[in-house]
Amino acid sequence: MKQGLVFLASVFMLVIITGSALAVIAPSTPPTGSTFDQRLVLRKSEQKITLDPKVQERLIQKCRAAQAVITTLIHDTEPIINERNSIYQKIDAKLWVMVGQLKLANKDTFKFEQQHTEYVKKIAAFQTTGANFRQTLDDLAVINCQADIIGFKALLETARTYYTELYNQTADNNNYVLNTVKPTIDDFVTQLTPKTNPN
Amino acid sequence: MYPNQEPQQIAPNPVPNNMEEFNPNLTRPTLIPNFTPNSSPSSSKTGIPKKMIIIGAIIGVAILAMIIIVVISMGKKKDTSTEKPQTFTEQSLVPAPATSLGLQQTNTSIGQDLNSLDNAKDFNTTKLDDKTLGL
Repeated sequence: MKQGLVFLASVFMLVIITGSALAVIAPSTPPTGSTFDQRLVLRKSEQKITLDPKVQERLIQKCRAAQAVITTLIHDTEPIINERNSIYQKIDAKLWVMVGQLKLANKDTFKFEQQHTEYVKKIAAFQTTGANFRQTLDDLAVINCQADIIGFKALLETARTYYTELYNQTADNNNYVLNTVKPTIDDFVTQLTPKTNPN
Repeated sequence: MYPNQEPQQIAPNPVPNNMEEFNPNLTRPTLIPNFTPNSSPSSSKTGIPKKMIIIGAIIGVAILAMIIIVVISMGKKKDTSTEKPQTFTEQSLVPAPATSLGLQQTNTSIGQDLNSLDNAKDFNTTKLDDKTLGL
């Protein structure tokens, strides 16, 4: 009995420790018109970076080269995010037109419109994350990393979080359209298909 | 000078048009007329008559006017050619009730739009790791 309790308590502790370690600190959106210094302070306070002296020394030596890679990444990422935004907007427009056409066909579009609204929210979230990610990359490219390696590391961790968020949001958007919106459209297709007389 | 007196009467030695009449023994008579006040012709210094300049200017203005007319007419032709597709798109955007075929086509095109996105390629997980950044 006692052994069982100890086992349960150890499992419980393990779950708590693992969960807290895996928890990603979600970066907040900086206020509109914020300066570089304001964003840097925000990221430092969010990430709370502490570095081992050896790691710190290594990062100071290599961060300039990393900034060159980040500058290339900025140029590569820009068209990817823009293309996605463009495709999401195109799908949004198609959904708008379909809502109007279905109304003209006297169909109940309440559920479909709710799904459309949800999709628009997802697009907006993706756009916000994309803008924050680009801004963080820009900050990473211009920071005097050798003078403020903690700030550099904080910005880098923020960029990584945004990047993961972008990936997850993209997957979520695709899944939502494929698994929720498209089946609803298929239902309307079925409703509008003229029923053939078996005779 | 008296008010009724003419200027010719006062001038004792009016300047002649031709200096040769004045001094026939001059060794270089051809150079002297250049210094006389009435020696230059009334048309122009370059020898082109005023009438020719005016005619040239009129022709120049006429050519410019023709060029402007041609350019404007070409621009109007372009405008009319671009107007046609606009009216076509306006006509195609006239809302029509949904049909099963139309919805099916739009649904397929939405699927194609999504399939054109490659998440694994666009959001490569190694893009920001320490190894890629050389940290």
